[in-house]
Amino acid sequence: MKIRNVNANQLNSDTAVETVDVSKFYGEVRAVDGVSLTVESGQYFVLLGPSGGGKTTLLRLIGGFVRPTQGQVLLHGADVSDLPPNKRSTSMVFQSYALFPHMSVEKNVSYGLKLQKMPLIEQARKVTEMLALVGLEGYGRRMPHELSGGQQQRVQLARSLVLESDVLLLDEPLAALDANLRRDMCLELKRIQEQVGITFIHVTHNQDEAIAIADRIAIIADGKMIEEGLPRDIYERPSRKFTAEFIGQNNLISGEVAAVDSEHVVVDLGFTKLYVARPEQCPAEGAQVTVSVPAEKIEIANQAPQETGGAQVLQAVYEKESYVGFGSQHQIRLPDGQEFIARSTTTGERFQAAPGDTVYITWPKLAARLHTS
Amino acid sequence: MLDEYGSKWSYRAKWSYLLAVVFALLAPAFHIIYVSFNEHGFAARIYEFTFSWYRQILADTILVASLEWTFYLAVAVIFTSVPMGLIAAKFYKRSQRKIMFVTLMLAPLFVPADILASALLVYFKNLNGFFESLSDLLGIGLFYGWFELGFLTALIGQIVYTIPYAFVVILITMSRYRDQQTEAARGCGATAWQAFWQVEFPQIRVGVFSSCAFVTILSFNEATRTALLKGGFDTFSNVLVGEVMNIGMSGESYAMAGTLSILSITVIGLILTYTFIKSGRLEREARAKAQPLMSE
Amino acid sequence: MPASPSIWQRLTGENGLQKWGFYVPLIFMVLFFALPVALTLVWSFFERTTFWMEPGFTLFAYESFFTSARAENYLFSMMHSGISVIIAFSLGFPIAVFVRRRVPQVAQHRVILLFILPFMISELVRVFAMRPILGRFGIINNLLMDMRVISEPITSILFSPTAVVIGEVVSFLPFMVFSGFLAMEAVEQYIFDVCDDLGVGRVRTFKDVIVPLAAPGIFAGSVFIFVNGLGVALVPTILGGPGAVNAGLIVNQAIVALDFPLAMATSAIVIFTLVILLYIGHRLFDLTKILQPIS
Repeated sequence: MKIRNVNANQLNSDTAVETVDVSKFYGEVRAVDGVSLTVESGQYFVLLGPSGGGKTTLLRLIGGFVRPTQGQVLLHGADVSDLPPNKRSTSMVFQSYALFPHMSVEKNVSYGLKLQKMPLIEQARKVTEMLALVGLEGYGRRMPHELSGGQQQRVQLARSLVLESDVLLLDEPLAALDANLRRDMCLELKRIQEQVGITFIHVTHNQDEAIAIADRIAIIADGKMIEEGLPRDIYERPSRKFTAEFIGQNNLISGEVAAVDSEHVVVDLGFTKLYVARPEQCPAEGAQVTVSVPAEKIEIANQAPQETGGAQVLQAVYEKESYVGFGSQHQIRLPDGQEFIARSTTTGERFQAAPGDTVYITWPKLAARLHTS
Repeated sequence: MLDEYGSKWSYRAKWSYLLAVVFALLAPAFHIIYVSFNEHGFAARIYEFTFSWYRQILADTILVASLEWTFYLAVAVIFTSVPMGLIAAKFYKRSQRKIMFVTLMLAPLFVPADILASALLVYFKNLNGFFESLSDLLGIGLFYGWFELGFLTALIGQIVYTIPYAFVVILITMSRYRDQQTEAARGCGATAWQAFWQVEFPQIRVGVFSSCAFVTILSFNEATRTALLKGGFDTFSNVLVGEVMNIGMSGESYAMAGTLSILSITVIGLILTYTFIKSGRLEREARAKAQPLMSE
Repeated sequence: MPASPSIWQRLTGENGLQKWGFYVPLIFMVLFFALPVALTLVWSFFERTTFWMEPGFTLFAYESFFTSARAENYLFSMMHSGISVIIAFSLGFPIAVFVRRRVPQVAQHRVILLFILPFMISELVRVFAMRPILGRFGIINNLLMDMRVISEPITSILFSPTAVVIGEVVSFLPFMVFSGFLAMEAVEQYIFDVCDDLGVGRVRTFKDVIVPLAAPGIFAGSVFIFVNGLGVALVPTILGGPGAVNAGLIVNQAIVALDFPLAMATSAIVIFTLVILLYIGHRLFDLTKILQPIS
């Protein structure tokens, strides 16, 4: 277990939050299992993962609502693992029900300032400023139960931001809102973060949300950090198999490495061999690997295409089509029985086939990714 | 009425039965109150309204003294039992071994008054004896009379009696409180006490005050435990029991019983009315809070 | 905000003193409830002295309990209590079922609160009030005579086991309604809908569905009434007359006679009865389910 020995003079102001191999065990259950991540100042960092995967626990570890079983939590380089939430420079926005129902919007937002014994005039000024920032000017006198869900979340935001903490933690802040509102609020959050300039750590299980606003994403599942990186990289070039399964719509197929050459890795799928572009971390011969191909990169045709530009063509049996609004999803079956999904948009020539027809699929060589774990 | 296809009359019949039972349980007390205002006492055929029996109570110095003791005891019980019930409720929410703790807290409900009181009686006498020997051993008179039968022992008996009620009422009120609010307050910089007093307490206040009222009434009405555990004083209820046993149902006893009943009915009636009125408003608010309008 | 490593303050930020404060109720209850109750067993074996007792080990107290009329009285009082339970159940439980089933969810608690009213009236008053009703010149007799059902007042109602049973039912009926309702909280509304949908008849619904689900609560309420019937001296004292003696009364008499080991022995027997009943109930029904609404 790594333990950092830091003293106050080494306060690193570029790294806002760092967890060092942090874990939280509840008896046998490993809610968070050895997660080490780094969040830079001013970043919009998203913890993305399936429900129950530990991302909320991780957030609460950072906020001080949960004490680590092992490992450390560092804020600006200083070890805060032993500090309760009111002693840390973080603020939290909760999913719902966290406004004080017996206080008005004003009183809610100024609560933290009141605790700091700030003069009332100062408090009033900051509250007005903050309400304007979140788009709730003039709502000061209202009571929480008079507000809609989206408005309540904005008040929470104001309440946390007014404290001028360095790090804002958001625990599935948009989960209780309906889809339309979620999209709008999502962008609002990003706007506010850019305007205020502090670090945001946002937990969600919704990948569209994550990809839309994050500067960096960390995938958390089963208490572990699976992968971390830029949204574009996570989406287009996931390195772990789990990531490929979780994000976007990818088709996964497993096989064994038959051969490796300077440009390709040859994966034996059983019914055919796939030539996949060789990645940096090259697997050895005989290794079990998974290949993932994004559904939207698959081109599907009734006849075997003549010109593929070096890409492979696979033969498959067509199953059915599903209309999904912006396009169609085609379900096809590979020779070994596995299902693939190809997506086509409604522009251009509309592809058609009847169930049972033989169809041909192909994809750009670089679209396929190789996963060893 | 939930059963849309059921018989209206069956529903009404059942409601009537329910109300009849409530009435039947209340009627004897109301009857007592009725009689207590009668100049001629119980068996008389003529009814003449009067306050004289009540005036007699106030004139009787023994009774007035007993009222004082009853009052002191009740106040003492409120300030010990309710805070402990509150602490116990908070402890319960955070404890791991919930079932064991709840069993301990609620067990006094299952132990009959006389049994518990006699056990405590022997316990206190033993404890007192123990402390006195300790004093003798150490040569100081510090520990003398700590657990001699008196106000303190009666108080302890009543606390054991009333804590389960305070505990349950407060716990039920707390179940509507969201812990996230305490966390949010902590996140804003509040200490544990500040978060409790400024955020949690305002929301559970009603439960705490209700349990204060319950505990008061329970204390006033209680006689058995106090009888066994008190020292040289009597509470109002003690005197009442004594009178009925020795003298029978006199005009004075009716007035005493009437006093107790009127007190209880008034306090509980007020709480019920307040609850009924407020719950209409609270329901609307709670629905708004639980499902905030989803689109702006 | 500068962060410095400091003594660990747990999540709710208690320092040492505050943390121990949370244990006060627990310690209090152990000291002044669990311990005295447990010690009754120990004390029941002590030897009796003129004014007090002496530590020792003797079965004398139990002997004097079992070889005298006391044991018989105890058994009789158990029977009376049992009857009270059955009557209270028959009168009170249907109310709980009715409220749960037919009254809208939001109003249910309010209706049950109605029963707090009689509960909050002093037990003394409720029991005393039975005297003028059941007595020679009481209301019931007057009514029956006025209706010419009887020509002479029935003297055997008051100061008899019947009066005791009636007194106990009146005292504890609100409890039966409360615990019945608490028990019924285990039965969700949809269960009734399912039964209706499947066409299950009233009686079968009750027998096969409601009772098993509500069993823990019903049992707890019954034990409560039963044990209080055994151990509360008030009712037999006021309404009972010579024949109706229960454990509570025995204990009181023993204390007046300064026979403390006997008082302790009787208490221990009652507590033992209670524990056995709760144990049986727990094995049969898992009584911890009652606590669901609270947690």
